[in-house]
Amino acid sequence: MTRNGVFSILKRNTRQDTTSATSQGTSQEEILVSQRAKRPLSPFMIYQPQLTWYMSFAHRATGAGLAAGLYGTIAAYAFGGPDSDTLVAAVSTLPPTLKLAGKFCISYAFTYHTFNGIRHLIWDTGKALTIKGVYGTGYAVLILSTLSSIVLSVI
Amino acid sequence: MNLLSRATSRTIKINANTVLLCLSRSLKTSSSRQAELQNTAPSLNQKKEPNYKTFSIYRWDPDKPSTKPRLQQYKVDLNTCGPMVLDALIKIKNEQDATLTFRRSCREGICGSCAMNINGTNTLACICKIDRLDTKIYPLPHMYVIKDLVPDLTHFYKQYKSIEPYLKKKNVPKDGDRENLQSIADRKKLDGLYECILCACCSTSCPSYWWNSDEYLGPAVLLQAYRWMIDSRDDYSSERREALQNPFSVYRCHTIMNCANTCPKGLNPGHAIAMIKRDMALD
Repeated sequence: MTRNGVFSILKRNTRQDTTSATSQGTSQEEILVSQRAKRPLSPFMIYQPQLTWYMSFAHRATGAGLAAGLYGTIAAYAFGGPDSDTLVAAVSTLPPTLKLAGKFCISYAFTYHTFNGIRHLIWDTGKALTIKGVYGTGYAVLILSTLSSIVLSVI
Repeated sequence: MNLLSRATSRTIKINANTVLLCLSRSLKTSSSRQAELQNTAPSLNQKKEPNYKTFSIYRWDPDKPSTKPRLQQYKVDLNTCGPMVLDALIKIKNEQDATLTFRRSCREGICGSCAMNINGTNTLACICKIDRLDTKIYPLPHMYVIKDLVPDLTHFYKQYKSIEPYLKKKNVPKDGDRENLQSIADRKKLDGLYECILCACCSTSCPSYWWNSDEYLGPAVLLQAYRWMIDSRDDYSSERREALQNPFSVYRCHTIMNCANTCPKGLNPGHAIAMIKRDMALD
């Protein structure tokens, strides 16, 4: 209904615009339309980096990455990709630092997404939804996910 | 003779009026008047060394639409300028570049006209202190620009209109019922909601609103929607929630919370949206 509400208002206003334009002559309307067609969108990438929207972006990125990894490997296996023995053999030939870094990246994506998901569930009950709460839980998620992913990547 | 003198006195009066009008219409800040005083009476006030600071301001002129938007630099002496960013903008417009365009009215954070992006965050220029060495000023993000720092808020206002921001009753008031009474506890529920001045700082700080402003209502409008939902005098709470029951109007909010972080009035639209979502789930 809200969408319809907006549309009906838009329609009503365009109708009013055209009636007023025909009575006043169309030159003003033409100038307005031509200006509106060329007007720029104000920049938004200049927005200050803040914990709020960077963590939200990271939540989505890690979620999409984990989903792509999971469904990708399952699909590769189903369509006759390399079996687990060859994968294990291939990974064991990698240098240990690269293995550790890779394990940390994958486990960090997983732990971050999990802890931040819990943070969102707390927010859904209406709790910790103040600036103080948002930053407090945000730092807690960052610390918890870093520590737990270090543990997971050392195992 | 008598007639002549009366006529001359009248012209003098008119002249005095125009002078007064000119004075009242100039946008001079009190501090720039002080600076003039200092210039005229240097013996009374020791003149300070000028303290210049650069303001980089977004410029775009609709009369030259093919020219790309650019940042223009202005140097302002802080010793002859008021403390707020709006003072600097007015000073630039008065003394350096009369074509610089921005909205302003109350200069005390109650009208919401001078909302703009200063050093990366949305705020009101009139209550934002000049602090750093360089200040970058852009219009509110991801909005169509009318000119310089003036964004087109037509769609924002239409969205506000769509939530029917007024008291709606199911029963016609009886004779003698002049007021819609409310308990003190019910009135308290409106605190933190009614103070919103619709400056659009929060909506234009919201990445979800950047991508989906055609259908997502945005934090400012949803805060107002919630303000009418929990008003004990309004009879249409459930209908108001019903109207938002679609994937876009409310549910494009992903609790990013840029809105509460940027609100110049210290309100919390993110919390209001969470309450709308909770009430919609319980309906």
